[in-house]
Amino acid sequence: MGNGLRLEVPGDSLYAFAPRVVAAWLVAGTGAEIDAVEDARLAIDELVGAFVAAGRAVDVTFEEGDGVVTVEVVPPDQSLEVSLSPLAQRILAVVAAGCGPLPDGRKGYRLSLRAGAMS
Amino acid sequence: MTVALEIPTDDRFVGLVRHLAAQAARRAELSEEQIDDIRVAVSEVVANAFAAQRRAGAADPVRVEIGIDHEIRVAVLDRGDGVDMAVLDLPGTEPDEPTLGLLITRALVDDLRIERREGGGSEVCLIMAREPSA
Amino acid sequence: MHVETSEKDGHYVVTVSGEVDVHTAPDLRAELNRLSSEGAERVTVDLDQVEFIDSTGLSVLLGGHRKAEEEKRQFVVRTTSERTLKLLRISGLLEKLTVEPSPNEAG
Repeated sequence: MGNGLRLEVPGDSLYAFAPRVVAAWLVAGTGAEIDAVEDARLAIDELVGAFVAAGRAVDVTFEEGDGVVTVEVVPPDQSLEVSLSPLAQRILAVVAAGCGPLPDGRKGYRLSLRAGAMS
Repeated sequence: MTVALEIPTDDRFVGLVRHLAAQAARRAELSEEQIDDIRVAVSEVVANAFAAQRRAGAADPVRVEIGIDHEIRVAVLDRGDGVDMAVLDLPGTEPDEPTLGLLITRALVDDLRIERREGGGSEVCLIMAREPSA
Repeated sequence: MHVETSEKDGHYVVTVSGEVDVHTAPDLRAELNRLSSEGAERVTVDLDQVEFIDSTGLSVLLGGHRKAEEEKRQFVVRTTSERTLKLLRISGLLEKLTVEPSPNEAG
């Protein structure tokens, strides 16, 4: 997907900070306000965190669009399901512009983060 | 175990790698000065990787692998036209841009290695260890 | 993330700083468990220096609250951060936890 920006996150919680750093940097780079940056950090953390908490690695790809950063979170190991806790879902419903399954049917999620408009 | 970031050859992403490496160094409990040094070192190495890829016309992403525990290890992998470690020690020559960056980097970090990759390009690895507590 | 506990007159204040996530939340849980097992009657968790907290961090707070309720001890979460209050609100924890200052009180 997109422009080739991709983060491979191992299933080790030590690296759970990394997706937040990338998402925040991208959203901040669009000129978005601080709330949008903080929402993006939390949204990607909740989604990737669900996999990391289960010890599962994920590949995270980022695509910048107009007013939105689209993120796909895909476990290389497609054999197991990871579900989001009710608390994580509740948070995502507020801080993400959208979160749903991948369009091609692979296990994983597609997340939309509110961002600034592209100039 | 590492976290790996792949970035397109676009100069604005040097800032992202710098920021991610700094955050990783913070988690490895490096000192503020070491974190600043990592920021400079990583910027130099990634900028070199981009330049090498442009010279070679490579369209691949540049790959940055970061590992942390009592130290930070950063590996930057490119498919560019490469630079030889030996060039850093040539006497009497003015350093050109890629080598100046590497000279600076080598002075800042604990360990710096460059290896050729199979299939072309370079892997530059740098290590900075946590200082023992006073 | 750092956790620092101070005590005065039997009131324990746990000051949390940094980022509370899947990696660091267990350290907070361990400290709260330690205080519980040592019979601390009054515990306040101060989140004012927290730069980030997610659902794993919130779960630790909720767990601390529930345990304190069962054991008839006092457990208070303290924050003045709009961001943290927003998260407590959207997660539904604002009503479940004892949060100071109360959002209805002035400053």
